[in-house]
Amino acid sequence: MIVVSELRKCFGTAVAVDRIGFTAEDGSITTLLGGNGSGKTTTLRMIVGALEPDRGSVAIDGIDVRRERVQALGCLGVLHDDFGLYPRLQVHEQVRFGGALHGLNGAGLDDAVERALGALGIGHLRARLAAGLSHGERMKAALARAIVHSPRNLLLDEPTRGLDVFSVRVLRELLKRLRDAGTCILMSNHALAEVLELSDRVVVIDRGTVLAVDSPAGLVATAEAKDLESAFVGLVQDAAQRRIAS
Amino acid sequence: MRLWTVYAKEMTETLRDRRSLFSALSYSLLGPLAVVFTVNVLAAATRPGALEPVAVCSGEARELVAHLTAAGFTLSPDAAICLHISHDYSTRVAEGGTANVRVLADLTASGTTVDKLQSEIQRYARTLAMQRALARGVAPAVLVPIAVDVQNTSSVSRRAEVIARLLIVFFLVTPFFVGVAAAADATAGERERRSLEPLLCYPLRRSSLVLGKWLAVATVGAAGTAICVIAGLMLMQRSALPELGVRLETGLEAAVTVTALLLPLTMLVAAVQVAIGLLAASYKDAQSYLTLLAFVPAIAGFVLSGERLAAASAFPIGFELAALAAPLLGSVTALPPFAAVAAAELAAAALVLWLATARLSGERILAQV
Repeated sequence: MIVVSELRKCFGTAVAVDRIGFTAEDGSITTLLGGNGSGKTTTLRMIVGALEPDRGSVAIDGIDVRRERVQALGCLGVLHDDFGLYPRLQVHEQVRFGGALHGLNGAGLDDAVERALGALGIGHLRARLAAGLSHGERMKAALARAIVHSPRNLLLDEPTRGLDVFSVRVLRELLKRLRDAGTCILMSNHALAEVLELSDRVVVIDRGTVLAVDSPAGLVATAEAKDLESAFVGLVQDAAQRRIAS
Repeated sequence: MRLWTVYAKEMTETLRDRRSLFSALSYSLLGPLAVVFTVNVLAAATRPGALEPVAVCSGEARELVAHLTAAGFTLSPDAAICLHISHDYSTRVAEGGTANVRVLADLTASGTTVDKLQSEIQRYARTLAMQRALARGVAPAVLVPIAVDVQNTSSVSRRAEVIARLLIVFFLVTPFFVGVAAAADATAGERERRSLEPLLCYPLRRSSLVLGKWLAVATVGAAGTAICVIAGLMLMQRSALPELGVRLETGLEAAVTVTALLLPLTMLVAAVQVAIGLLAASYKDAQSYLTLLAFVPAIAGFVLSGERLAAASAFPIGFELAALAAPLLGSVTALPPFAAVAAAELAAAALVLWLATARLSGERILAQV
C-alpha cells in the first residue's frame, strides 16, 4: 500500500505540487490522471525518493520513504516511461540486474528471472541485446525487470505510451493478474481507454493539486458526464474557473 | 554487496563497447610504439653502416679521399652525394693556400651523411693546418689555445634520461586516457540514455552506486595502464636502445614496479573522472572535459624538471613523474615515501567520491535529464 500525505514541492517560486494526498490500496489499480505539467511526474519522483518533498510524506507498506528510502524501495517495482534499459546488456541480464539490486541471488535469482520472462512471454528474447528490441519488446523487458522480485507495490509511469495494441493487451493482462494477486499498482496514464479499462480508483490531478479521487464510474456519475473524458475535462475546466473567480 | 552488482554491470557494458575498448587499448600501445620508433630512427641515424656513399664528381684529391675512406665513407660513381673538388686543389694545397671543395646533395634526404662528411673534411683541414704550422716552425698548440674536455658525471646518460622521461610521460597519461569512455558512459551516458532515474529507484545507497561505477572505471584504468607499461617495456627490449648506448630496465620487475607506483594515482583519476562525468551535462561534454583532464599530466611531464620536479614530488602526478625514473633507470632520488603519497591519493579519491555521491543524491542530477 502506498500512502501519499499532503505532499508539497516547489521549484524556486513555482509550486509544482501542493497538498497532494491519496492512498493506493493493495489489490487495486490506482491511476494518476492529469494533463502535461499537472504534477504527476513530480509526485511519482517524490514517491520513489528521487525528489524530496518540501512538506508531507510518502509511506510504502508503512515505511517512510524520506526516513528509510532504501528499505521502502525494497517493497517497490518501478517502470519508467523511458524504460531505462542498457543497450549493451541482453534481456535476461537486464532482468537479472534488477533482481540482484533487490537482493536476490543464486538459484532464487535464476528462478525469478525465468518467472518474470515467462510472465511477459519474452523468453525467446532472453539473449537479445536491448539495442535491437522494438518499443513493445523494450517495454516488456523493462516490466519483467520491474516485477522480477515480486514486489508488493508496482509503480508505472505512462506504461502504454507508444505501444501497439498487442503490447497494450499483454500489459493489461499482466496488471490484472498482479492486482488479483494482491499487488498495489499505482500508475500515471494519459490514455483514457486504459484508465477506464484498468483503474479501480482514479486520482485526477491538475496544477499540482488533487481535483477528485473516485472510481472511473464514480467520476463520470459525479460529473454527470457522458464518459470519462468529458468528466476529466469538466473537472479541469471547473478548477480553472474557480481559480479565475478567486 | 549491491555495489558489486553495479560494478559487474558497468564492466559488462564496458567490455562490450568495442569502440571504447579499441580506443583505450590503441592508446595504451600507441605511446610506447612512438617511443620505440623514435629510438630506432635515432639509432639508424648514428649507425656507422648507415652512411650513404659519396661520389667524387670532379677534380682530384687523393689524400682527402683516403681520409674519408678511412673515416668510413664508401665511394661510388653513382652516389647521390657529389663531391666537387676544384681543379687547382693540388696547387693551392701545395702553395699553402685555400683549396675549394663543394658538396652537392639533397640535405632533406641525406642530411646526416652530409653533416658527417663536412665534419670529416674539416677535421682533415685542421690536420693540414697543423702540418703547415709545424713546417713553418710554429708549434701546433699555438693554433689550439683552449682544449675543451667534457666529462659526464651522471650515473645515467642524457640520452637514457630523455628516453625514460618520454616513456614516463606516456605511462603517466595512460590512466587518464584509457578510462575516459568508461567514465563518461557510466555517468553522463547513464543520464543521457535516461537509465539513471530508474537506477535511483532501486534499494541501494547512492554511495554504493558511485563506488560500483568508480571501481569499474578504476579497473579499466589499471588494466589499460598495466598493458601500456608491460607492452611498452617489452617493445623497448626489442628496440635499438643498446646501439644508442642507453641502458633501461625493461624487465618484468620494472614493469610491475611502475604499474604499482601508478595504481594509487589511477584510483584517484578514476574518482575524478566519475565526479566530472556526473557534473557534465551530456556524454559529449563529459568526454571533452575528461580529454582536457588528460592533458594535465602531459603538460606537467614537459614542464616539471629539476628543482621544480623535486618540489612537485610531494603531490600527485609530480611524485609519479619523479618516482618512475627509479625502476626504469636504476637511479636513486630523494622522494616522499610511496606509502604516504598512496595514502594521500586514496584519501583524495575518497573525498572526490564523497562529493560525487552528494552530486548524485541531489535533485539537480534529474533536472538535467
